[in-house]
This record gives sequence, C-alpha cells and structure tokens, in this order.
Amino acid sequence: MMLWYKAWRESRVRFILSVGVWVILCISLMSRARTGFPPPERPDLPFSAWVWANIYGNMNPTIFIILVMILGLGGLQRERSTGTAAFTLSLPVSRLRLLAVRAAMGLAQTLILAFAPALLIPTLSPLIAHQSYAETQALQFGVLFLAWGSVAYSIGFLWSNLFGGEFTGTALCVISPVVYRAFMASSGTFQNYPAFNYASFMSGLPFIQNPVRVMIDKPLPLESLLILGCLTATFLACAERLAHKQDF
Amino acid sequence: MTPDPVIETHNLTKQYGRFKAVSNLDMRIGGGRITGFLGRNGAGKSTTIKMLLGISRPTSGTGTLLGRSIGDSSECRKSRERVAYVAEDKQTYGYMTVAQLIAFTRSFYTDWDIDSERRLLRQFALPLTRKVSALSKGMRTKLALLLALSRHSQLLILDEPSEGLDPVSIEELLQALVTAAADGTAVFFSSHQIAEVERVADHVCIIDHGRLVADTSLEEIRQDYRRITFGFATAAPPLQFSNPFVRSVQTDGRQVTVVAVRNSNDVIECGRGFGASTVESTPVSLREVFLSAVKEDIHDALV
Repeated sequence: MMLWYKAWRESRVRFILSVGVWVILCISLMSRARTGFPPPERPDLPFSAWVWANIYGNMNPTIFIILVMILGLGGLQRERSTGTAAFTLSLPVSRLRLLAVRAAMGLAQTLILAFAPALLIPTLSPLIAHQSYAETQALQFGVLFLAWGSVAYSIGFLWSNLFGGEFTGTALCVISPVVYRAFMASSGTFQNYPAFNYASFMSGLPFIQNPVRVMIDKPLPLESLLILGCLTATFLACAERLAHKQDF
Repeated sequence: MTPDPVIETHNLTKQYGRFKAVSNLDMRIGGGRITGFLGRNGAGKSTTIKMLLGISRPTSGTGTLLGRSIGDSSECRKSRERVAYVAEDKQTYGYMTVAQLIAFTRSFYTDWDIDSERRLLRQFALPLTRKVSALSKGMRTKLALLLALSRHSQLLILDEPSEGLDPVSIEELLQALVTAAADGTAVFFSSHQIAEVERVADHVCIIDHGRLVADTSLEEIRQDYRRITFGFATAAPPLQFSNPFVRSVQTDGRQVTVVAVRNSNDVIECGRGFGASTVESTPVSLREVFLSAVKEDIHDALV
C-alpha cells in the first residue's frame, strides 16, 4: 500500500498540473461558447464541431501526449540523481513491483486525464454554454485518448529508465511528440495504418464520416486498440528489463 | 564450530569499463559481532555493500547475504527483509515528513520495534512534522539511523554512519551499535574514522583498490601485532626477513622498524641475529595496521 502512496506523492504535482490544464481548457471552451457560439462567420456550425476543434482536434492531442509522457518521468534513475535510489532499493521489494506500482499509478492517471473531458464537456455544456453534447461521443474520444495516451505514457516511462536528468527527460517528452507528428504528417509510410498517427487517431478522423458534425459514427477499431495496448505493454516490459539490469 | 557467516563473497568483482571497483573479493563476515569495513575513498567499500544488497550487480563472482545468494533477485529481496541498511548519502524522500517516512518504512518490515522508534525519536529529537527536505544533514543522518535501528534486524549494514554527526551523536551511535550487537544483531559498518572502528569493532576488514588487504580481529591486533624497533651501533644492515608474518620493514639510519603480525618473538630473535644492539617491541594501533596494509597495497600495485 505504501508503494502506491510513494508513487502518488512522486507524481501528484505533474498529475494535478495536467488535470488543471485539461480542466481549464474545458471550462474556458464552455465560457467562450456561452457568448461566442455559434461564431458569426459560421452560424450553422454544430456544437459538436466546435467541441472537436477545441478539445479533441488540432494541437490538443499533441498537448495531451506531452502531458502523459511527462507523467511517465521519475522512477529509479531520477532517484539516483536525487540520492534516494539506494534507500528505495534496500527495501524488501522487487524492482518489478516498484515499477509495476508506478506504471499502474501512471496509467490510472492517464485514464483520468483521458476521460476528464468526457465528464466535463457533457456536464458543463448545458450549464455554461446552454448546449448539449452526447456522453457517448465524449466517451468514444476518451477511449481513443486513453489508447494512445497509454502508449505515450509507457514511452515516457521507458525514457525515465534511460535518463535520470530532469531536463533531458522533459525535453524529450516535449520534442518527440511534435517531431513524430510532423514526420507522420509528411510521410506516407503509415498511411494505411491510421492507428500509428496519434494526432489523426485521437482526433477520431478515421472514424468520422460527416465532416460537418465531426462526430464519431463508425465503430472504434478494436484491433487497433489492441495493438496500441500491446505496444504499451511492450514498452513497459522493456522498461522493466532495463531497470532489472541497471546498477544504482 | 564456526557460526554461519552473515556475509560471504567469493571472487566478487565489479568492473566499470576497464576500471575494477571491486576485484576478486573473498570475504567472510561472521555473525554476532561488529565488523568494521575500512578503506580509503574509492577503495570499493560502498560498491561492495551495494552488491551485497542487490543495488548493484556483480560483474563476476558470487556472494551470500544471510545465507542467500546475492546474484538471485528473489533471494536478495528475501535477505533484505532481515537486513537494516544506512546508505552512504543518507538521502530519503524529501517530499515526506519525518512521520510519513517512518510510517512508510515501518510498513515494509515485520521486525519493527515501536518502542525503539519512540526512544530514538526522543534521543535524536527529530521533528515529526518537518519535511525531510527541510532537515539539516546531521538530522537526515539521524533519521536514516532511526529507520535502521528501530528494527530487530539480523544484520545491520551501515555505510559511513557517523558522517555529518556531531560528537555527541557519534557517541550515541557507537553505543547503539554496541547495544544492537549485544542483542544479537551482526553489525557491518564502513568508516574512515579508524578511532571509531577501534572503539567498537570486534573485527576489521580493510579493502584497498577493490581488494581485501587485511581481515583480522581487533583482539588479534592487540595481542599479536607488534612494532619492533631494532637499534644498531652502526648503520643498519639491509634486513631480509623470511618470516611470512613480517608486514613491513623500514630502515632509518641506525634503526630498523618492523611490523610483525604474528610470532614477534621469532622476528626479535632474527633481528638480534643481524646484530641489533637494542630491541623495543610495542603494540600496534589499528591506524598503523590500516596505513601499513594500504601502503603495502600501493607498493604491490606499483611493482
């Protein structure tokens, strides 16, 4: 139980800041919608398209990926820099358990972050913006955010086992999603595999038929979700293997 | 019958690139006593301790801690249940308060003694509500010691435990080590402070350049180790001792000083045979043993 407490204490600042960013984004969207929706230049714009553009589309998936990757930082390499690794590793606990608890805590935080808009948007839309937004839509976007968010978290987690420095890990978490997104946008290599393009996948673009309403109206691809789940597991397993062999 | 060793290593080696931090270390530490682990900075003391606890992996060689293999992660974890450890830098989680850290650590051990915890809290005057990051270096050391000494562990491993402590706290620490040993806990502690080791240890292991250069009991040093000074009427002849217990020979004008680790009478007879007119035999301090062992090692390395 105390390992969970430790994992929470070590990640809570990053988690609360991330939740704060998401909540502020959702509330500010609702506030803007209250007075500025529909925009004068697009009086026929559906509210779902407004929500998509401001929460699920554009640069927001990249911001989300950066936030969850930063959640993956910390761990034993960081503890080595701060001098607490020897204390942690002298506890009668296996490295596997140390990592498993931290990973589970991080994935739970990713889940909360991914589904925070699903709670906030349908609830706040009628209250603040006097609009309605379908809970099922929000939940489906939540699933897409969780799938890629888990992969991103596990990559951040893997990096945390390679780089102990605060700056290196953070810089990688900020730069790599932007570079990857730019690469995917310019490269045609993975065009047949939309699940590999996080920005497109999380925005739900492959599952949206009506570009005006911008609502998910195709079933979510279970195979792709499974592949992303496997990728998450693979990155976490690699991190565990690395930590198992490392000296502190 | 020799009691089971609490620590045993065979050819234990730790190599970082081409640098050998610990080299073919063969060591056997018996239970029920206080063993001082001496060595200069970078001699390999902390690396050895980290390998014993599974914090670092040996490059080669084997070892056991409380009878369990240090090469097996699962065995190592089980042995850590019965070992209390104070790391060299004494860093613990700065974001927790003293009370939170004690509660955190207590939850992992079944041998935790709440009375010892309360007694040490009073003794060390640690502020329960203060964050660890706000503690002074000395206070952090006391906290690390409290976490280790509040248990009925089978083995207590301390890496430079007195570093950062004031003289009164050092005194309390040494007393605590003696009490722990009297209660049946084996104590293995590294230190630069030879006087501390000499005061409380029953046994010393000296490591230099990653190799064990001395492994002896304090009793043996007091009884058997002798510094023998031979005086000659003219310039001292070059003395060649075939006695394997002669540790060092130093010639200074008409005087030759020999450190013998055993059979000093034979060495005295031998010196007289060389024509020494005066002979003076005095006990050797641990400090001299340490310096002699380390200097010899430097000499061997150079040769």
